[in-house]
Amino acid sequence: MSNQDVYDVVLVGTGAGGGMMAHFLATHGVKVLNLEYGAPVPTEDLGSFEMFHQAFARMPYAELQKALYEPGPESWKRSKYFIYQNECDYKTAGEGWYWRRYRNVGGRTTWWAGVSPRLSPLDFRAGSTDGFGPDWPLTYEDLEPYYDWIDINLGNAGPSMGHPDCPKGIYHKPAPLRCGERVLQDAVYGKLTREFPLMQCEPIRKMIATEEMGPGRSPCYYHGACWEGCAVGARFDAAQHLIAPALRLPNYTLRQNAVVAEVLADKNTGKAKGVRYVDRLTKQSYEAYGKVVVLAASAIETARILLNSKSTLYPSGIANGKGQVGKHLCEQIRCLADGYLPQLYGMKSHNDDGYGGNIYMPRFTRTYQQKAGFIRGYEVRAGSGKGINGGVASFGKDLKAGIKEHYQAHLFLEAFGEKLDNPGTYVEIDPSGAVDSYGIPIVKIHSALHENDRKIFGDMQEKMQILLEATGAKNIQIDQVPPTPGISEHEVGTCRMGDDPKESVCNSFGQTHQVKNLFIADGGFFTQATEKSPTITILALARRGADYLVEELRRGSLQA
Amino acid sequence: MNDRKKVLEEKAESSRRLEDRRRALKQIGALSGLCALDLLCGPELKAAVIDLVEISHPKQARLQPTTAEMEYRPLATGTVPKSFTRGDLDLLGDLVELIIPTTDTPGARAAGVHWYIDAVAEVNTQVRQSFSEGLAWLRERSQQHFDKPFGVVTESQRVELLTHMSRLPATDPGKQFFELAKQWTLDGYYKSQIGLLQELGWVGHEYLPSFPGCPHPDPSHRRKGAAGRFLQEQDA
Repeated sequence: MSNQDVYDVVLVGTGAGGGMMAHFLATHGVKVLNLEYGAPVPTEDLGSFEMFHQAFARMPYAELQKALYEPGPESWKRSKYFIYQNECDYKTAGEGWYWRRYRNVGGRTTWWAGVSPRLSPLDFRAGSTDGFGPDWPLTYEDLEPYYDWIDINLGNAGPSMGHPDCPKGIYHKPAPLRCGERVLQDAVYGKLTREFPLMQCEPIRKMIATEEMGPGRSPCYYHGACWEGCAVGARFDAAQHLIAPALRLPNYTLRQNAVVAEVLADKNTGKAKGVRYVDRLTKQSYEAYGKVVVLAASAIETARILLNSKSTLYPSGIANGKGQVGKHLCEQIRCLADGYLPQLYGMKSHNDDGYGGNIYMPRFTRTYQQKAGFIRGYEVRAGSGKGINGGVASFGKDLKAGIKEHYQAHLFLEAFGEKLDNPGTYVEIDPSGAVDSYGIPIVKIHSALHENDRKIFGDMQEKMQILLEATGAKNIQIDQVPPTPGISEHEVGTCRMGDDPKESVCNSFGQTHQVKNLFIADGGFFTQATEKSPTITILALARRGADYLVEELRRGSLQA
Repeated sequence: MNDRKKVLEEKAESSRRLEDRRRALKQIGALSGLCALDLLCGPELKAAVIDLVEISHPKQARLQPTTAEMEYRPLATGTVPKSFTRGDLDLLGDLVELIIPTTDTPGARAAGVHWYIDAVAEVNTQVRQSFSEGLAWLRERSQQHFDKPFGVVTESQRVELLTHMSRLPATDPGKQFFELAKQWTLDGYYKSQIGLLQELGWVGHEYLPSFPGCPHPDPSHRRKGAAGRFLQEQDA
């Protein structure tokens, strides 16, 4: 294929945002070139056959250790698809940043747990409600049809809850709760809802098909570890459910192993005319041209591409006229807690793999947070099942017997809180001028904790204790310090959307304010992080952006 | 587009469409396979995408775990330790067996946990150093307390020394080594064939057409006979 082909759209990335864009554009007759850093994941690497502990019981140990603790190039299954620092380095400042990047068709959606809460109408107006930051440039009503489209076409299991933070969806039936999860639910409704009226404890919403969906989808077989990839395609994966159908169309081209370096701009019109990318295997540089360029490379990577796209027209990077690209990086703060339920001691070992933790407790902080002195809030996910309780005795026979007795009685909780955007948390191109193995300048990620983040973390710790005590759990352990920033893998906000071009990079369709034929379609366009997992909202926003883009292409308003 | 009723109708419509498409694809599939994929991408990519033609349930047969996947290997054992001296490895074997002893099921030594730690230490220099130092500490203390190497002192003397270690203040190197050894012993033992299958009786790794969830009538699980030890008694 000649490099001089001009596509309608050059699209970077195949994850939630890129996959959705690719699928929708291709099925609407748009000629798309889709560039992906990595390669497809063969089915045998999608490991829903085994949980970690099984793998441990049969794999060579040194290799598994490498895979889990010191990821190396030859390690196991999903770590094969990590981008390692010797290939593409990044630097950090402040609190540090854990940046896990995937190089595979499907991006992170191949490896996610599937948790899919919609943003609520309140989230879109959070800024004007509490005075922190701008509102989203769209409302829940604007996005609702797209959420519905996702529920219907991509599959989503869960309950429709009557809760201000849980808009109703069109869901498959969720899996029933496990023993420990019912203990928690019973404790919440029996003891805590009087004090916390917004506290609810229901099955989690996950993008998992539990009912028949048609070709290419198998209903869930309750085989555990969704985050190791789903070989039967029950859990949503952009590669299987968005990219694969697009590949059948002649107007869609996928180029793998393409590391995008910069967006190319036309000197005369100032419009984007394509991208320059480096082939991962040959390290040779290529250019690809399109009438429209869409970046969906993940929040930080997209900011990096924009900032690296310097020219006389755009000296500080394309779409960065107001210096907003890379700012407003935000994510979620996590607090883990666990304990063992005496009611379940001695329960016989049984298969409770299911599809991971199955409890979701939406944000219940709204009723008291003003008094507690923080804004925004957090959600709690929980699950129960097997656990090794080393705290049960010191050593010897007692330890061995105690661990066996506690084995089925484990209850764990995971709180995710909104981290506020703050001036100390942003992405820039590393000022030292360092480059990665493709000769592309690397990023430096600055991070700082906002005072509000610390308060949220403190409140999480307190409420985790209350929740676990209400269940009667023993051997309670709760995170004592906030985790390394970035660990949530929910980073968003580097190219945020807004109505005011001075304060934002793109509009609510992902179209950049400065360059009309350049679009953002990943978590970068989030206005705020919220406490909810971002994937389903990235999908909905990308689907809405694609709708708009197809219409604009038809009208011819974007062409140079 | 905002009309939810319309959306729900669409849902019904789309499932009808899927039904039609499935029937159509079944016919096309028999004739042409995945020709579009053949043209557009190499074999590598084809392997990655789920077979679009196939309807859902036959996957179950194709994706059943193979015998190799179901097979559990004992912990790696070798004739030559990779990280420790032969003497250190034996000492480590004694130590892990003290932490998880043989009862009605085999203990940590039989599960090869000391070999596991040896393999971990090969790739993790910090583990290697901590264990080498800790084992030296243990040797020295055994000489001090009993005037004999750890390998030949009696069982009760070993337990006495380990109990002493476990009660030292958190900053003491003896206590730190105790915690480290315990952590890695539990890690190795309960991921081994013996620990996971024989001792804990782990079950999983099965296809379930539906997830049963909790079968007990009492959600709090506090009433007698609801679950827990009572359930096991009932079963017995």
